[in-house]
Amino acid sequence: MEIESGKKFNVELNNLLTLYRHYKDYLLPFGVILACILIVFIVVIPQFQQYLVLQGQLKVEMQKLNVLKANYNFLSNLDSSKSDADYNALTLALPSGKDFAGILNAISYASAKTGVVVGDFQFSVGSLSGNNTEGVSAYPSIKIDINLVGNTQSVIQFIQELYKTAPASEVLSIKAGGNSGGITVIFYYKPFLPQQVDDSAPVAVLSEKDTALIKNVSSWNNALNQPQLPSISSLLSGVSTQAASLGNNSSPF
Amino acid sequence: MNNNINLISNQNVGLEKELRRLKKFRLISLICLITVSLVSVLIFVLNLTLPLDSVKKEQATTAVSVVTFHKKLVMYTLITDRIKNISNILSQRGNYIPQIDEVLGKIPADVSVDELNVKTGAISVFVSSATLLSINKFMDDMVSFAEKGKVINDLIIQSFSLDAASGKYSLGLTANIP
Repeated sequence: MEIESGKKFNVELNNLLTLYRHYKDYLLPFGVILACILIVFIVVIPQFQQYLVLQGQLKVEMQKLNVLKANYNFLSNLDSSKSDADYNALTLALPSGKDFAGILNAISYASAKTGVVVGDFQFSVGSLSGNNTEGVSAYPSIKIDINLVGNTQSVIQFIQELYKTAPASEVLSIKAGGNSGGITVIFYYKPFLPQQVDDSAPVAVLSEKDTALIKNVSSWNNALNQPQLPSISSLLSGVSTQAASLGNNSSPF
Repeated sequence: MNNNINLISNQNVGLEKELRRLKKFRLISLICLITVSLVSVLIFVLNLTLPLDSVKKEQATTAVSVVTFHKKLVMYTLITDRIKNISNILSQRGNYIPQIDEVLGKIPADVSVDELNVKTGAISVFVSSATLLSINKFMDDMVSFAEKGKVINDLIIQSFSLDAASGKYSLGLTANIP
């Protein structure tokens, strides 16, 4: 039995040796092809994947760089004095807090320009610390009832002038007749919300509509370009100080 | 017939075939080796030459330059914020002046406005005149406006009376402003 199994083993070994001798010249090329396949799976494909990932990263980084460059070019060409002037005009049109001085100036200017005599007027300031929203929703405002002395046409002219005067206002009701009238008007303001200015975020260039708006608002009568009445100015000194301490948010940054 | 008589041995033909096959196999393996090597080197070089680091360096340099304009950027952000809000207010606020102008523009010279009220999209006008013809003309114009629906709509005559003492006709109209 043992002799038989030994014989069988010898026979198989001889077969293997014969096969080896017969195909030994194929072993090297076969090994090379196998190694090539392994290299493709272990090295080439991962490297190619890494290349694709790096390409993606490069694209993202290039976009960031382009944004930064565009921001740099835009900001370096931005005229500071014009920005300051635009900012002043816009904040007069929509103050960040309750601008009592601006409101009284607007009323007195519209009155002086249209010849309408302003009688009693009543502020409905509401909560000094909170926001009162009326008219265009989501915008806090100060409501004023104004009694006017003048004919209907003068009252209308007064309102037209008020709409061209900072701060931005909205007339809620008009009552005119004979030689007197009254309007209810709200003056808007909007605090600056705290926000993070990201230097790497793309800066949106102002559209034509935006520049037209700035031009329009700059042409409005405001506290800087309208003649102030001495009595109003003296009246405001106390009110504006109070308003500044209660409602003004000068800058959110 | 004895095979040994043939001048060309069958064994040699088989060997040549075997050699040709081996040669082909070696050639294929060589091509594989060269291709894989070339592709590996190529991808390696491509990975090395991607300018990711230089882009990041340039980014950092530009970012530092941009930071010097931070104040300008803040100012610009505030300006865009105000523009957005003012634009919203101006586009949404009620402005009835053009409609009021249109209505008042149709009042004849000998008709006087006794009362004008405008509130939340509604207008009411009370006029009086010694001439009925003028009152009629004004009413016709208002009806025309209401039919067109651009200046006013839903026109209602509130009152129409004659004050015998003063000899004046009075007309009261209310309408909605679209």
